Amino acid sequence: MNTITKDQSPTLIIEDLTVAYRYGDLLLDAVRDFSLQIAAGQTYGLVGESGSGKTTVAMAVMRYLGDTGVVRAGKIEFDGRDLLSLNTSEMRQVWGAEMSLVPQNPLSSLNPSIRVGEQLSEILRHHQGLDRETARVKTLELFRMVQLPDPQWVADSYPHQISGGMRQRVLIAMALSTTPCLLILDEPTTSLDVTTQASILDRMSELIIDLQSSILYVTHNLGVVAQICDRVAVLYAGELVEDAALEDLFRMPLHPYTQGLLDSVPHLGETKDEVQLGAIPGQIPALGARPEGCVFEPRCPLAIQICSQRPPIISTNNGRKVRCHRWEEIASGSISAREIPREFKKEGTEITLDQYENEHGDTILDLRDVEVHFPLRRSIREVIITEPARKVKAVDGISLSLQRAQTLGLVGESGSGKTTLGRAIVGLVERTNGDIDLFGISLPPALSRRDFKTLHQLQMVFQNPEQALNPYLSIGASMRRPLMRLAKKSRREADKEVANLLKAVQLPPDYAFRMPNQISGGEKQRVAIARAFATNPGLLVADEPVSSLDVSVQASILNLLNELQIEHETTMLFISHNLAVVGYLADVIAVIYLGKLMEVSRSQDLFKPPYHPYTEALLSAVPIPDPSIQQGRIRLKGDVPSPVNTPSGCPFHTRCPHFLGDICVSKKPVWQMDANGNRIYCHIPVEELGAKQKNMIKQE
Amino acid sequence: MQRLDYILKRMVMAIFVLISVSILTFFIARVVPSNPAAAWVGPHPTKEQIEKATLELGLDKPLYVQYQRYMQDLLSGDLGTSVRTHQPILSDIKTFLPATLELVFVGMLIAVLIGIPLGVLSGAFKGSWLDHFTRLISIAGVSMPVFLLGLLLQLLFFRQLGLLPLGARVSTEVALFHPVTPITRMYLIDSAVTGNWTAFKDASIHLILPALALATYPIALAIRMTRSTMIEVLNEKYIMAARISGIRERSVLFILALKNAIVPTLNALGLAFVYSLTGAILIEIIFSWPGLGTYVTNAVLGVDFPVIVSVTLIMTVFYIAINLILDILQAFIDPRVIIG
Ligand code: SF4
Ligand code: SF4
Repeated sequence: MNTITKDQSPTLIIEDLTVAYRYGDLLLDAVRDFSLQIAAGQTYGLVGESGSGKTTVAMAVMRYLGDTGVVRAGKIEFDGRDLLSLNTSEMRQVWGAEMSLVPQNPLSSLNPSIRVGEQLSEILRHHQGLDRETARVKTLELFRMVQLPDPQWVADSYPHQISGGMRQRVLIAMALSTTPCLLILDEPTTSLDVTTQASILDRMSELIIDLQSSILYVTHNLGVVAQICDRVAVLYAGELVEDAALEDLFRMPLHPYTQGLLDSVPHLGETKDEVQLGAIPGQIPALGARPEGCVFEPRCPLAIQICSQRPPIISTNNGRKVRCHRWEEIASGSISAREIPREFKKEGTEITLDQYENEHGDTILDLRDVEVHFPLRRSIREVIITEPARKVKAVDGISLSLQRAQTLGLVGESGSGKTTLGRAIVGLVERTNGDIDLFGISLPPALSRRDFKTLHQLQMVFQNPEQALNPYLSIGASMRRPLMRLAKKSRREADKEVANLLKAVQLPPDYAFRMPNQISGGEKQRVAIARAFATNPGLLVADEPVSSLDVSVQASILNLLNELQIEHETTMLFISHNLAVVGYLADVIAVIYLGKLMEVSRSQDLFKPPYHPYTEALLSAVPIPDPSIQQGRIRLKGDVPSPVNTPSGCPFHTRCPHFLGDICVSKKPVWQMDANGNRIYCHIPVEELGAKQKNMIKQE
Repeated sequence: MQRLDYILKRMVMAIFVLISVSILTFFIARVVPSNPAAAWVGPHPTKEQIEKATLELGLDKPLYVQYQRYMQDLLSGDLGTSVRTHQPILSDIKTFLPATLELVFVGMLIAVLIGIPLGVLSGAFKGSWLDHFTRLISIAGVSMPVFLLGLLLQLLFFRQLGLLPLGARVSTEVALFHPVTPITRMYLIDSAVTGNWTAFKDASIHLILPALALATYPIALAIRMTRSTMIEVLNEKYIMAARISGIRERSVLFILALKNAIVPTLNALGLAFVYSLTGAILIEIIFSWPGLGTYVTNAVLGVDFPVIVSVTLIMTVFYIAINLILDILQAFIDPRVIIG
């Protein structure tokens, strides 16, 4: 973190900004009375969920609100100039040169038909008047600065030919190319894997210090904010609810919403046995349906009479700002929205993995050497020279077993094969080799060859609830179908059951008559979960069930899954890229990389050494929403290799920080067991591994 | 490498289509007429004439042998003989096709040079007076019958203003005293190559009206296509990214956006090109342009089967060639097409 020189005037001053969008004849405020000051060299985090208006603020500062956006009131002062009074051609002098943006989606933000290097050179030639050759040299230099491997190759590539992480580095290089005094980063790492995100964030923090630019960092991720920002503004439903220095905010949040937000994300290493997540009830109000009084009032556990009036923003004496009627009571500690104090419920049960497996007895699901290979189409040239078709090895020999009422967390980055494995179990993709047994009976690969009983026993919850529900069927009808078809219930019985299920997922019974487009994303996911539990399945495969939802809604869904699972004694395969979430919900965790398992551990053990070197890197990469936690720092080089040419020997050897040498390249590792019965796939003996590794997450 | 693969694939496909078409035209030529030999000989044939023709045409041989012979003839440039004129079809086409090609080429060039920029501006300034005006042009261009337009142009530029000639490829004077040496038989090229600038100027002046009349529909097409794809592309994130990196609006529109918006327009113009080769018949008649359209019309009216089939074949070859060129061009304009 960098120091802020006090005497300098702020780079950016936003005062009472109100921005509205036009919907037909209506003008709806997306941001109301928003104020903020960013000092020179300061990194300011702007945190909010979807619909909070954080991107609107960023685009208003950029003066790029689109055709429908209108600044209704307020002032934006940039470097002493009134930004709102500039016209487009005057803005063009500011854009790129003094103020630049790293946009959220790196693929759609690069011109698909122009070489990447050319796109950066163009900016350099324009702003700095460089000639072609100098611009080219400078481009390569900038690519090196953001640590792109093989800058020349990247410069000559088109955007779709390079990986997501590389694209984001290119965009950062573009934004920094003119050393702007204000840099706006709009969720710059959201679409990336954690290990990629970690190395980009590292490089970015170094560059921020070097450049002394002011930064507005827009994100929904509190973990990233904790890592990179000096100061944080929290937005909710278009209003600034809290503004504080980083440490203050995390140590003592003053607004009930901030408190709820901090409690709703599981921290790395916390499990469901130890901690309960504090879910914020309800959902973010839609643009046209915001409350008159305090915007958080419908969801606030501390709401009282006066909250039906809009609270003013109050500056406290220690340089913080908060918009809540009851902030003084909260500050004094007499009340809190943190109903369940975040403390350990009970000590983790000290049983080893094999004891655990024996104790739980019945194996529900058994996978042996499961393989899913997709053949690639050959090009004409390959057909002519009769090259054999290459294969994508999405899942490459996985053996696992799940016991009754157990939750197995399958964690991996994109391209690891985790989703494919889930789909192969459910039968949505056909495995090409290996066995899958459910209740001791072998499952045929194809869905069409599975009998009713199996379909009944196996249910799935998808990442995107929008796609899981038929838009033309009412919620009730959607839920009734599996009951009548698979569980062979009569219409009356099914209707009764639907009412019960809705109650179980905390939705009112009249939701049965609603259509999917009349309910929110979180509610849809509840319905999808209710439907999955409708047939009382033996095994539930949940593929990233919360990752498309807002953080404040995620916790309630996780709690719900947990409760239903305990109640129904369902066995669950929980698939996610989010290590904290998996660690929270699962009893046993399997880490997958390039279609192969790397480690299988009890979840309370996963966060302590010895771990597999890949797990170690993952753990050190997860941004932790708590600035007081010291994290180990292990960064992986390069990108995940293509699943077509998987590395020989140990699949992780191209990136492994503990790489041993030839043996890792030539020989497949063996499964080893540590003292707690956890299994690790590595050549390094577990004791040695444990001795080399530090605890990745240390509370100060 | 990927690009090479892509181009290779397109070429193999083009060859495949060519072979299929040759089989098809072979069947149309030899099998569809109930008695090809009789059709060959002409009206009121005698029995001996038919027998002689049967032998001559090899109609007694098995079909594949016939096809083989047909292909041999084709490849050596023998397209057969016209029933009506008893001229070799190839030499007819050699005189008529270049005239049409010249006209259509220039027409397309005008369409590209006027239609695409207007489409870009109209898409960029959606809802402005320029957009409304441009859309008016494009609606008029699509709906105005081409003969009417041709006549109006003649009325204005020949009768009223006396600026441009009424028709024909060159004036009589030039034809007599500065004749164009036939090389490609496209007058602009031939006169320029031989340095015959009087003829070049004269041929150019004669081209303006018919080319403009021909270009109207493609201009309208280019405006509409470019406008709609531009509106789409200008909403893309990368255009926003380019704008807020301070790049000039001119470069944003005509380089960054157009590169991603132009492919559908080019494809449409490619089709319009092939269509115009025979579809420009009305223009050819109005402007007394000795082109392929006139030739084909006469063939159709005179049930001149071999000519119809040969022209069909040539059109198909053009169609395939244009498509291939567009596909390859596309691979260079928009690299995304080469994957998948
Ligand atoms: S003003 Fe009232 S409703 Fe709003 S956050 Fe504070 S206590 Fe809750
Ligand atoms: S086997 Fe070698 S490369 Fe693989 S994880 Fe172990 S040390 Fe790293």
